[in-house]
Amino acid sequence: MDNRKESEKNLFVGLPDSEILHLLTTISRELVCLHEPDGTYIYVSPNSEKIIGYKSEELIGKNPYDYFHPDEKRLIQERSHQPLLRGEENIHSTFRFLHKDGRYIWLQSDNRLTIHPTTGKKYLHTSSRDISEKMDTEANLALAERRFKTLFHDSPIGLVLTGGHGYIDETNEAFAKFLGYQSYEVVGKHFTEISSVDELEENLKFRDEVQKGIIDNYSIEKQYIHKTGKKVWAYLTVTVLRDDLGHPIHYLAQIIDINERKKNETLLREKNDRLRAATNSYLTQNKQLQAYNQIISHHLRAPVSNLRSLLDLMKESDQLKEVKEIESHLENVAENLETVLSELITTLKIQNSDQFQPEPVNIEQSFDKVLRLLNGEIKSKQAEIQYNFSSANTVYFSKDFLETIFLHLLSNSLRYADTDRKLRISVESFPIGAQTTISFSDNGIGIDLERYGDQIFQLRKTFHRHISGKGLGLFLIKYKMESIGGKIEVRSKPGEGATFLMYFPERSDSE
Amino acid sequence: MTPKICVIDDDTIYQFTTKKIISNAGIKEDVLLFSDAENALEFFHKESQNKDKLPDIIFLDINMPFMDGWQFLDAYGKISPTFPKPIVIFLVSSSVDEADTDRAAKIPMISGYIFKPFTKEKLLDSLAHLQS
Repeated sequence: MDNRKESEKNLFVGLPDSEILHLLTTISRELVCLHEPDGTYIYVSPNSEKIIGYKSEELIGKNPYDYFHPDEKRLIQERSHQPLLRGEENIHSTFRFLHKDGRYIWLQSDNRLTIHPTTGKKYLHTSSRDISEKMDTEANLALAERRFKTLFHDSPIGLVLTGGHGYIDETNEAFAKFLGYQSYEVVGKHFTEISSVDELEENLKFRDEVQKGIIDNYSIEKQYIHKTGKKVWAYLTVTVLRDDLGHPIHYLAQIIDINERKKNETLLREKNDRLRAATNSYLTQNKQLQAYNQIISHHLRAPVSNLRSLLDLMKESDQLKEVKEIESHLENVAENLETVLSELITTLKIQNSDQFQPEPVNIEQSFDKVLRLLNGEIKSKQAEIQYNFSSANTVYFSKDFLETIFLHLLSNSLRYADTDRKLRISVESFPIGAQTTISFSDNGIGIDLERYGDQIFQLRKTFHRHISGKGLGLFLIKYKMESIGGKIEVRSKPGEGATFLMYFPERSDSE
Repeated sequence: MTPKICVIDDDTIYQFTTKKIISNAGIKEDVLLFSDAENALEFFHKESQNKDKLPDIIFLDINMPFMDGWQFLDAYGKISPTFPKPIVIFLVSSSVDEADTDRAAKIPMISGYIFKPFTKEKLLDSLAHLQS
């Protein structure tokens, strides 16, 4: 080039091109170099110290291969250097370069083959920038992703990633195994497909609150449906991932298997219930024994002491007429004793719970049978009897006991009818919680409960003069009800009638 | 003086033997007999100021239908302070249940608790209370 000197002077700033180049490259982030075809530096821009730590003069005459990371030397040779020499246009390469301070930095280069316009000699032109920071971020991201994947897939806790609509995008081995599936079988299912309906409402309520942005996470105990169909308990914690507008994109669910714990809890609760039932039954038995003591005291000792008195009088007596009278009394006492003993035996039979096996008893069938038994008396008294057992038609009880109870109550109602009005009897059953309750009402003469309230279910108590009653029925009914853990209550007002309420306990699973 | 005796008990055989025991003990006075505590109460209301009709001693049964001995005592206690003479009360029962004897011990107007069978000895022991 002849007029080279001339052209070196820049027309605008009055500086030679080399100085302008120097100015430009000093402030540039790009490291511009010119290499021999084998790579040897023949020009290094003055900003090199800033980028790679070496002054330009330190590198001139050196070969960059001495600075490349050993792992990438071959790659640069094959992917960048040789293609360049073969004439490929523009090659980008990313590689690690040994900084003067001893660490490798990531450089990204644009590489070209340059041919000297006059000599035709080939040079390599590289323009490089430090991308270490970017590489670090990417590496960190990749690492974070890897960490997350590892954490996700290898976690012993069940993890599920669902999309905003509730379909499962990803799941780990632990969760799949918990439900008896392979991971790929779970992916794509809607979470409600594998959830038990029992806690679904609660689950959806929380999800709704998350969607509305009220809460960001929630925890519940719920049951999933195992592949085999059985339900399994889990402790679920759900965290939401939102987009910039606050809409949920993903839900990350952590599922802890608490099936064993729940099973133990249930077992414990059942044992507790059984224990409580046993305690209650002991308390009842204790109360019944006390009542028994009373019965024996009053009803058995009384005829026995009469017997003793009569025998003493007989010994003293010297008149035949008197002896005859005493004999007739003795007969009465003997009869009385027999009655009391048979009553005691009846109650003892009830107490002997081994003989009592509760079974589902159809209330209406039992009541019908009793109606037929008392049909004559019902007709003669012109009693109107209404009954409805449609809302609870079964009690877990003994058929015999239920019939005896109906027989006693119905006989009582017929016996204690108010002669001034038509006798109406109404019998109904209904559920109260898990119990079945039977109410038995009449519009008879009623009982003065203020006066007899504490005696009504005692043995041999009658509350109405001129009407014969043995006073055994209600006592036995109470015994029967209590022996199964039920109870009986009475509501009554004199002149208005009486209502008996009988509570039959639910069927216990342990039986 | 011959004591006037009142027996309140629903048991007819007990009534019979008690009457006999009393007459065998040589007491000539007729026994006031009530099978029903409520009838007895009516009597005490009616004769509350009649010294001659009121008894000196009551043998009261605990366990009776309609109104039992305890209920009788409640009602009786309200009218007895106006009586023109003191009346001794003995509870008579076949019950050996401590619940009954304990309950009786807490009632001051009861002078004693007699376990059935009622005998001549028990009668004479309780009549001894009248002199003191």
